[in-house]
Amino acid sequence: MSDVRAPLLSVRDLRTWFFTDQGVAKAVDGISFDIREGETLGIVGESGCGKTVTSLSLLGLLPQPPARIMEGSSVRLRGEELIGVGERRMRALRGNEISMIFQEPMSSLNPVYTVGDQIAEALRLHRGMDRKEARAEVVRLLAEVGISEPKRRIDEYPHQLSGGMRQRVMIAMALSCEPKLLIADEPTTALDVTIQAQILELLAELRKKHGMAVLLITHDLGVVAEVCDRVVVMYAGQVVETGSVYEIFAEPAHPYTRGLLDSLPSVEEPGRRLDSIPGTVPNPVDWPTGCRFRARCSLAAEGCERPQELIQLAGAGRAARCRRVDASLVSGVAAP
Amino acid sequence: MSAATGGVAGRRAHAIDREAPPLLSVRGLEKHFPLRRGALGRAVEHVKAVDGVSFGLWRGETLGLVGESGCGKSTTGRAVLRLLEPTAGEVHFDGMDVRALDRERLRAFRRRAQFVFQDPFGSLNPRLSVGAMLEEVLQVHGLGGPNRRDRAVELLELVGLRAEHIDRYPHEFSGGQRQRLGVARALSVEPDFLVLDEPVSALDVSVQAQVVNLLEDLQAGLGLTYLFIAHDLALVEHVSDRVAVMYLGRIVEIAAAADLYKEPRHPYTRALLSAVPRPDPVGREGRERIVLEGDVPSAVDPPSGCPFHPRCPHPAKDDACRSLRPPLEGDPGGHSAACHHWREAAQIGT
Repeated sequence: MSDVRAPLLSVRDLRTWFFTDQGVAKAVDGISFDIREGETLGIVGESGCGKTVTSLSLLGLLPQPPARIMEGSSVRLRGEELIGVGERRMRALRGNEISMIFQEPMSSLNPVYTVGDQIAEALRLHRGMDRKEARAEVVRLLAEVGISEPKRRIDEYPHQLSGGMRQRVMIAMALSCEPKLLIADEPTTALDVTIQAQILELLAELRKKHGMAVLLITHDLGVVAEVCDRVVVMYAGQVVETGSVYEIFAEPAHPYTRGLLDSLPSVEEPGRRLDSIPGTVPNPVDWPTGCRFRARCSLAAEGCERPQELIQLAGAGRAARCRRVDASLVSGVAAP
Repeated sequence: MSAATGGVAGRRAHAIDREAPPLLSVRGLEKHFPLRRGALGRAVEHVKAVDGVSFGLWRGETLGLVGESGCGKSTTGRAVLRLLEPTAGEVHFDGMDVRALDRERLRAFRRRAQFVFQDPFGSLNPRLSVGAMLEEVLQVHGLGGPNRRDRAVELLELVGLRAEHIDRYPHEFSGGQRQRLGVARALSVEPDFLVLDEPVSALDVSVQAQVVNLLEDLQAGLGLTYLFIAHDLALVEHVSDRVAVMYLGRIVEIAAAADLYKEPRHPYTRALLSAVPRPDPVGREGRERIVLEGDVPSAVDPPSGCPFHPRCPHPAKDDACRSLRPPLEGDPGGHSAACHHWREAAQIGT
């Protein structure tokens, strides 16, 4: 599927480092990707790979220090550079253009205000509504995200709601200003599987209806396969593979992606022994030199001790950071 | 294939003798927690965390216990080992009446039946080196003789760690290694039965597979019996010979893993399985998904009749569902469901 739409969000060489007593943690270390209007892009990786720091960097939500977004990093929203833009402009963009929902809605909802007050605040600040208009809009939004009896729920406090309902409230809040991009960081990880299904279905529905793009951050390959159009796989602060969701799952190019998929229990052969990736995720203060996956990789060979750039593969936006990538997947030369 | 092994034969390498009496037999197990105390300090309400659970577990077998948070799976595991005193019901282990054991005999029982926790860090003493921790357990149980340190090294090697790890402290280990330590500690008393409570859910996917493989190797090598508690349905299918699904403190369906995943009979099991995201994008649009309405009701005041009836999408739902508690029943092959309409459900198919 070729796509000529200009990217909504364009990230180039983003480096977010943390300056700590233990050393410099290069949590995000030079990543690039695009999100097009209306698409769902998944960033997938294990704990410590930098996926959450990436999403927080996009919104300017990291305390600096200890975090620092390094020189040369670029995040453009429809051409407008967001790195280094003032807090005032960033505030205007957050909510209006980009919204975010988190894994644990309880920690992002204020426990001493009713859910209605919290959503109404956003409406009054960002959309200039008066009290009465805002209340009517909140009821409409709560109904839209599937909360039954919205007229009663509007006056309830976060602790009175179940986990699934709280996530619905967060989504209602995120949608209140009709953003063009919704960043969802592990939005269903804390939820049970049947509630997860409800929330994923709701997100897909809302995305279609409002035409917004979604950046989904998750460790769960199943969730990625269910909802994403394109996928970015991260390992040790870098992008190791990109491609369409179909390409990534059918023909994983990077040994790490392949390893992740092989370590999942198979539906077809439930008893099959799992293939595990040996070792553990490295420490961001001390990333391995050369290919960062080298020590855990069964294909590691001479040459892997040198740093590896992303290699463009056949297919739109398809790339892998591996010099031993299957030749049949390669179309051309190394990326700049 | 003999009738004794049923649908389980061939799926796993080891044979399970179902003609023999079960190693663990649980009947009508209940665990109620007092919730609110009245003026005279009396409990006026109870959370019925486990509300009549029965199952058998045969030597060398893995029974997977699945369900969503609050369904009582973890409490069941703890009550079976008397880490929590059951409110009612029977637990028999290799002929022993577990609920009747006095202190001393309970300790002997715990030497044969061990618990592995989800969070390995929270269950390891941060001030004890790995060697000291293992030696302490051995000493408490009078095991290992004068060469406890040698035995500790042996245990580390058994779970895939190295002898030089013996003087390190828990914080020096990664999550996967800590879970290996948790397993080593459980195995130090040479048990035949382990309750594994979400043993890999705190771990990254790539490390999960390492620990799952370790658990399977240990089971095959030592002839262990597992009660494997988890919320990850794909993982439970992978490790289990049989699987029990819990909802609101009760088992709603139990069967050989292959049968339960292929032909779920309880509407809740069907919804649960259809909700699992599959790591395969091909055909995702056409996939049938049963999305349940609402949330799980409170275990303080569970719905009358079938506890699942308020959320049940079964077309044949009727007055019986609202008023009568369905028994766990099924065919002689060992596939049982607690649903008045399990026969129709079996026919509707997937």
